[in-house]
Amino acid sequence: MELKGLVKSNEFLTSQRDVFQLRIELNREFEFKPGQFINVYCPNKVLPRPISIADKEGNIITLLVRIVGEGTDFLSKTKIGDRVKVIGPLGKGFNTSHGMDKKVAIIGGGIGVAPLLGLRKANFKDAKYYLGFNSEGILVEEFKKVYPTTITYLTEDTTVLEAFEESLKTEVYNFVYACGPEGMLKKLQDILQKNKIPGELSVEKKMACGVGGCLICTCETTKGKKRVCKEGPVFDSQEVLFSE
Amino acid sequence: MNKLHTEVFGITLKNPITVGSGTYGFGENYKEFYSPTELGAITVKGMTMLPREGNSGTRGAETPGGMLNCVGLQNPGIDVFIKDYLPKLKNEGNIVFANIAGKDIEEFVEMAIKLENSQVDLIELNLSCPNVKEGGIAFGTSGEMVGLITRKVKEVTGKPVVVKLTPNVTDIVSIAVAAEQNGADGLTLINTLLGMAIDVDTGNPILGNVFGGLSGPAIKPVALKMVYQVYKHVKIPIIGMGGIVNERDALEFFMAGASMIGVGTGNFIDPMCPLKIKEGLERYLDIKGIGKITEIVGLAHRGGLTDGK
Ligand SMILES: Cc1cc2nc3c(=O)[nH]c(=O)nc-3n(C[C@H](O)[C@H](O)[C@H](O)COP(=O)(O)OP(=O)(O)OC[C@H]3O[C@@H](n4cnc5c(N)ncnc54)[C@H](O)[C@@H]3O)c2cc1C
Ligand SMILES: Cc1cc2nc3c(=O)[nH]c(=O)nc-3n(C[C@H](O)[C@H](O)[C@H](O)COP(=O)(O)O)c2cc1C
Ligand code: FES
Repeated sequence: MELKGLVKSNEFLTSQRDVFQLRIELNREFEFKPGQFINVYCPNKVLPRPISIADKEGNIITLLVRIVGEGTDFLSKTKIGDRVKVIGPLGKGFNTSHGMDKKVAIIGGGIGVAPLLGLRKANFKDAKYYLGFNSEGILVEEFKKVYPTTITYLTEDTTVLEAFEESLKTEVYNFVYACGPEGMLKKLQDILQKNKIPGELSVEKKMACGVGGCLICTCETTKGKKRVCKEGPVFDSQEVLFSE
Repeated sequence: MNKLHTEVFGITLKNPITVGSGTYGFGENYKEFYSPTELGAITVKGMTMLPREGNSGTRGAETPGGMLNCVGLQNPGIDVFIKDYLPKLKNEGNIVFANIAGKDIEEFVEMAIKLENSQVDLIELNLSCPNVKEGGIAFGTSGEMVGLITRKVKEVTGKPVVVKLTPNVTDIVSIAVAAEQNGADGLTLINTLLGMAIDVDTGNPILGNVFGGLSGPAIKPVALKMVYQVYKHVKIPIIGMGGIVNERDALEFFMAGASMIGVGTGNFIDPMCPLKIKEGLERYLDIKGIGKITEIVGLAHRGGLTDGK
């Protein structure tokens, strides 16, 4: 769905000014599942940029973005009232019903926390968050102001995965939702397999169309190649085959 | 009256707009944006005899004004297309152009025979895919090979056969002429230009396949020149494509000599692109007081629009 967006707010979340939170009001109401993304258009860039929907309230969506290149830099500079063109929502989100009446762990690394934030509104019986920002420098205090929930924040002292693995000695999780860098997801896959915990992972790939037309975004899975934009970005935790 | 009505390759089309093979899947991806029957024809993803998984690693990269891809002809194989996709497309009322890539002449012929007995409206020979090691480009760069494959395919099918050419050659005209002389009903110009990109943070090529096909606005001047050049030397209709993203781009291709145009990368930039072009063309013809789109085909070779238009 093609949507017109109006920037409602735009603020940096880090002292280095490399991660920002953008709120955009869209001209239409739509259904959204945590884990879904939108394609945002940036002037002077040929292709749109896929960005996860971190939150949605009415017609207003929240994005959490890290500046890595020209497109994200442009978005960081948009001001209240600026227009942006968007298509979405795209992709398959997390299946929250897996975690209902259960205890879940939500594990995010770096900007990978963005697609997980929507999960805090799901009705899990019990949920524990393991969010790691390492050297990315998202100011935890800033982050807390924006997302005052039951998040366990971790810093450089320990990695999220170490903390999660440690917790398995005393806690039982029935389901895990995760997103983060490929290396982290691969390690998590092993931990989940070893402990026989089912889960879902959101993965990232270079994209072009975002709607299933180009086959640029495919990833290897146990059932052959699948499109991250269409069959994903959320997959069963054991389905995706990571390269290294 | 429908000003975009076009008769080409013996087929009646409601408009001269199609899509670049490989940018539209099998017509299922853009349905939530508009009905594919709005297009003159759908050109489906390039097909091979057997299913292909395509290339591994990063398959796309953005470049200034364009993009590179090395998808490598991922497709379910021609039999699955004929059985699972084609009947649906035809039931919905689409005109379907089938794009095929054989690994040798025999495979092109075999696939053409399979399609001969299907509801496909036209066969497009992909003699130019740059992303498949065992073939494609080698066929497209030799006039002799292009001629031979065209003739062999024409021998087994009564359907219109359009030959899609690669721009990665020194003399596209001689290759286009070879296709025409061997019975091609039309030409598609152009496929992607070979290119590459390097990630300076790692020092490695970005694409898993190192090289890929360049498409999008960046290649439009090259594509336009090739359509213009080839139009002068052949009588068969040309489907022009390469960087078309709006109606003005499309108009340039018609004026250079294309009878139909294809939107490729434009679909990725804006899913509604082909439809917006359709509306834009109608508007243009109205404003200029031109009765039919066919009147502007090759206009740039005839001294342009006359006074008053
Ligand atoms: C489904 C999905 C959801 C995403 N959600 C978010 C999100 O919520 N927040 C966020 O900040 N980012 C997200 N991303 C990543 C985001 O799309 C890229 O960072 C963005 O496209 C980069 O655009 P650019 O023009 O700034 O950088 P470019 O100029 O395109 O690239 C700059 C550098 O970033 C690298 N890069 C570009 N795209 C990606 C990518 N997809 N993954 C990894 N590296 C990349 C390039 O290789 C290059 O080194 C998501 C990606 C996907 C596929
Ligand atoms: C992702 C992608 C996949 C493509 N796959 C095919 C294909 O399977 N067969 C083919 O003949 N051309 C293929 N092409 C080439 C396009 O059909 C078209 O000729 C080319 O992209 C130039 O047009 P454009 O600039 O409008 O994209 C592909 C192009 C892209 C970008
Ligand atoms: S980005 Fe085009 S198929 Fe996924």
